Amino acid sequence: MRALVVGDYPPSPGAGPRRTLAAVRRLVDAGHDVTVVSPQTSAAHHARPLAGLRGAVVLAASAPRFDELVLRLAPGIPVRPLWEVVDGAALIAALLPWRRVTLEVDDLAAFPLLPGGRLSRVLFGRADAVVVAGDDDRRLLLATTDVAPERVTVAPPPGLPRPPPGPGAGEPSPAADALATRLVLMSRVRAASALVKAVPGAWPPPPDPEPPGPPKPPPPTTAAGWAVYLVKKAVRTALGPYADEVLGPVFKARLAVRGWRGGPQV
Amino acid sequence: MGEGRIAFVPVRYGDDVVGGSEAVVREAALGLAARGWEVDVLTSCAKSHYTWSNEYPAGVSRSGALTVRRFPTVVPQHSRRFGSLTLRIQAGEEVSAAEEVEWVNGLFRVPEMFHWLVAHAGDYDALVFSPYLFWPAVACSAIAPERSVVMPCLHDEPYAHLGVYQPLLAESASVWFLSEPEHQLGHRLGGLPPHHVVTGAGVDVPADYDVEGFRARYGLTRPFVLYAGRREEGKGWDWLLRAYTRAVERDRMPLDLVTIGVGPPLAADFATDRVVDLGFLDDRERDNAFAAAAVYVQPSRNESFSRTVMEAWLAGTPVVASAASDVVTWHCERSGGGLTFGDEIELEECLVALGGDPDGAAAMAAAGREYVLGNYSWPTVLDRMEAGLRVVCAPSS
Repeated sequence: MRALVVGDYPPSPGAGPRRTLAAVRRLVDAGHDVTVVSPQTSAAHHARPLAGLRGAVVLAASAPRFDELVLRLAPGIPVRPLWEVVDGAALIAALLPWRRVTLEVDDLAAFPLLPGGRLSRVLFGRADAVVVAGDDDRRLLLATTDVAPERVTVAPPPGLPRPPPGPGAGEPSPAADALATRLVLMSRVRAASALVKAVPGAWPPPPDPEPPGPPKPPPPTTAAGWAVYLVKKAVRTALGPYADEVLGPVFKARLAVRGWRGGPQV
Repeated sequence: MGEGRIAFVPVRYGDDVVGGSEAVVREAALGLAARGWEVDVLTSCAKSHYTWSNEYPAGVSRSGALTVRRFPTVVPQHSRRFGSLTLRIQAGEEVSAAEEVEWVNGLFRVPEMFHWLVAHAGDYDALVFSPYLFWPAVACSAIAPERSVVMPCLHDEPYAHLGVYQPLLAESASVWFLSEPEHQLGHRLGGLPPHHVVTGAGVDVPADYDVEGFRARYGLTRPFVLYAGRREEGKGWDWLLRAYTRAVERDRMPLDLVTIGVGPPLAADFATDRVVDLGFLDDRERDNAFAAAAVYVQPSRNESFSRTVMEAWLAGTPVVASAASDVVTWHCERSGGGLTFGDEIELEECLVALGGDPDGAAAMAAAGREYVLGNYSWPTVLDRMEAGLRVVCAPSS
């Protein structure tokens, strides 16, 4: 069977890429022909834009060439925070042409679509299988969607021992309902908080932590120093994302003047 | 083949590949194969570490007792942004986690090796990755960390402090260090797995040397100090050339400077009749060069073992080395076989002292040879590597 796996992938560190790799290994060990797509350059077969509508287009266009999709949902793959409605609807539409869909999600509370919301119900209802990271998420999913329990499995983080299932695992219990309610509320609080913080001026930003490493240079003490500082800042602001490309040669020249040369050494 | 099946994963492999970690991997692989291990080499098609372009054909071949499986590199077009990122890392500036990954991906990648290992890592009892710096080790060691061994060949350089390398060192099944200072550096950089060991690296002991023949073949009539390896800024070559030239100008240098290895040709303004480049030599002639030299100079601070220092001592040649390298200083202090210098003037004094005292130089060289034979013969090193492999292989076999 030809399977497409979509998600973050090594060498990016962290649990997400490792889980994607674990999913790929499971499929390969089962004899499937696996292709991996990640949102950035990596060990995957392809790097494609996966955020938002472009991600939905990639998924929909890939459907005819594969028998199964394993989509590892994460913020921005493809549903972006603050774009839940548009991206969620586009994702649901993109999954329609697929014959079999497995959705994997590491943290339901952090997933942009609110648990219990209409889009969330439709999305997970479309999946043939859902893989979550823990028993809490499994209870939350079962409490907030119509997904059949037998379609939801728990995959612990790769490399960590999986705890044995406790009593009552499977159907939601009253205690599990309470837990699900708490998690739903937490996710709504997080979403609301993110929304407020996204509005400029609506929330004071936290103070910058002191960065490790060499201390910052002291502020200018002379009028000329301030003038140079303000000009540099204005140039960097004006150049925006191209600042590194334009100022890189200048930086290199400064280092050369200080006696530095050469590239990475083996 | 009763011991187990293992794979070494160096970034480059071949008889004509120049590099310390590559040489250690090649000889360790051959040595373990001779002891009954079934050994594969999984590597790239690259020969040059300047271009990383595909020069060897992809596919499977035999190299003595080893099966060599090569995969093509993917070398991206280097952008100004990548150059700027490299400079920022080298200058010790803070970069984000995403930028670190971008940098590792930006040198070169070997995705087909990754895909192959996803399907076949389980065929091996252990996978030995070396060195730490490049994409194959960072990416591919994540596939089966429970059976991955890393021989990092660490230098105390800005790259080693990047967070992207932490999982490689901390989450692998074992780490093999080539020297105690490298081991200590590993601890300073972050977590290490419970099993890590200083294996050292082995050096082959030549049966004999042809000093007179070597001198005659290359027309070397005066005593000389030898530099061997890659002629690169990071290996201290440019600094050495400037320091040596100034010593010649001060008329205080009793020794010519002979260099063997690879790298850009000598600059025209340094081409005095005192500096001789013999280019890349085969192993036999390389050993003869070490034996014919009055002194071997090691100006590099980026050493995790310094194989050439061992080869010089084996050949009966004393060593003068940069004190900025903890590793070589450690070797010199433990063996008594070499002097270390902190600056240009000290280098000049070391060379003048050894050039003018043949008996003292011979005594130091003898101490160095004794040190190598006692610690870094291949049988000794392979014993340590086999013990390390059995720890990793035990759970699965």
